Amino acid sequence: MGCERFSAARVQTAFGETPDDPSWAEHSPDCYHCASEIGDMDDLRRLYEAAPRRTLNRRSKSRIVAALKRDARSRRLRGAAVAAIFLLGATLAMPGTRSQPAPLAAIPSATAIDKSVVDVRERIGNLEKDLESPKPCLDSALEDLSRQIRLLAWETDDENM
Amino acid sequence: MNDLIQGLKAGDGRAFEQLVQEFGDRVHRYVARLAGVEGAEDLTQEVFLRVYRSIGSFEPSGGLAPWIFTIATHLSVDQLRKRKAVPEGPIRPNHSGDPIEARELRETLFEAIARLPEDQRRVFHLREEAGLSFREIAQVLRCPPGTALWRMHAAMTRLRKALKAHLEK
Repeated sequence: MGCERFSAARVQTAFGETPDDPSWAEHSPDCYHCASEIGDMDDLRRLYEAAPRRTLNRRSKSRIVAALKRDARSRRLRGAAVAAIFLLGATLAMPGTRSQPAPLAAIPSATAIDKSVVDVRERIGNLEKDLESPKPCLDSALEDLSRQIRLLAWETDDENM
Repeated sequence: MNDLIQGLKAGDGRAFEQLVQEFGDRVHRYVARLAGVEGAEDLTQEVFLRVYRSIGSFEPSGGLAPWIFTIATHLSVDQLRKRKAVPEGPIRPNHSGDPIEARELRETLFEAIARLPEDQRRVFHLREEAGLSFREIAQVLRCPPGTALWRMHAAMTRLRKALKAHLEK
């Protein structure tokens, strides 16, 4: 018979796939052993498929989608917060490079730092409130924030001069 | 499928809905079989969260379904390790319309599936519950397609023997 080497092809046939082995096409039509094993596998699969199948109900699916949306929003917020903090840091460091030589001018006053931290916090708070349309809201808020911090850095620069 | 991936990367709500619609039931059935029915819904949610969070590292050449079920397999195995849960064994559904012989035969089949060696059971469920092709199963299990086919053949041989023994009783 030489059927042993066709075990993979029998499985593929029983599961509706086309066997990779080209010699299977010659062997299979006349082989009772292979046909009988494929028939047994078919029966077994039918028996398995006849059992009730577990499904997620609509509520469970909605719960998963809601969790995904929540996760996406909080990732955007985290991204925005990191960007804002980065922007704040970068802008505060900027005056030093603009007004050379004055290393002390790079250090803004404590009030200026406090003011900008409060501003960043306030902006993040606003973003949290405005989650319905996070993308445009984040973009405009970040732009606004960057403009304000830049102004703040300018003021700080003037104060230090 | 590309639109779905782009949508997921952009965090688009419609993409989330499509993802859950397309894969929700299959992932749920698969993790229930691997890690047990208890907590299967939470585990399903965790799979989708993990899919979304790591979509940036997804290689489109590999196909989305094998990638999702690789994540599902890892999380199910972790879950099993954590709570030493028993994978879903024989189901005892209400077969009120079935003749008693069919019901008993089906219970024998599910008991035999629960007793399969882990590697064979995983191939069986990836095919029957996740609906993956043998090539995709090989991707999930990181083995050659021939190995996946061999494991399925071994599983089928055991299951056929169990059913025959039941019928001969």
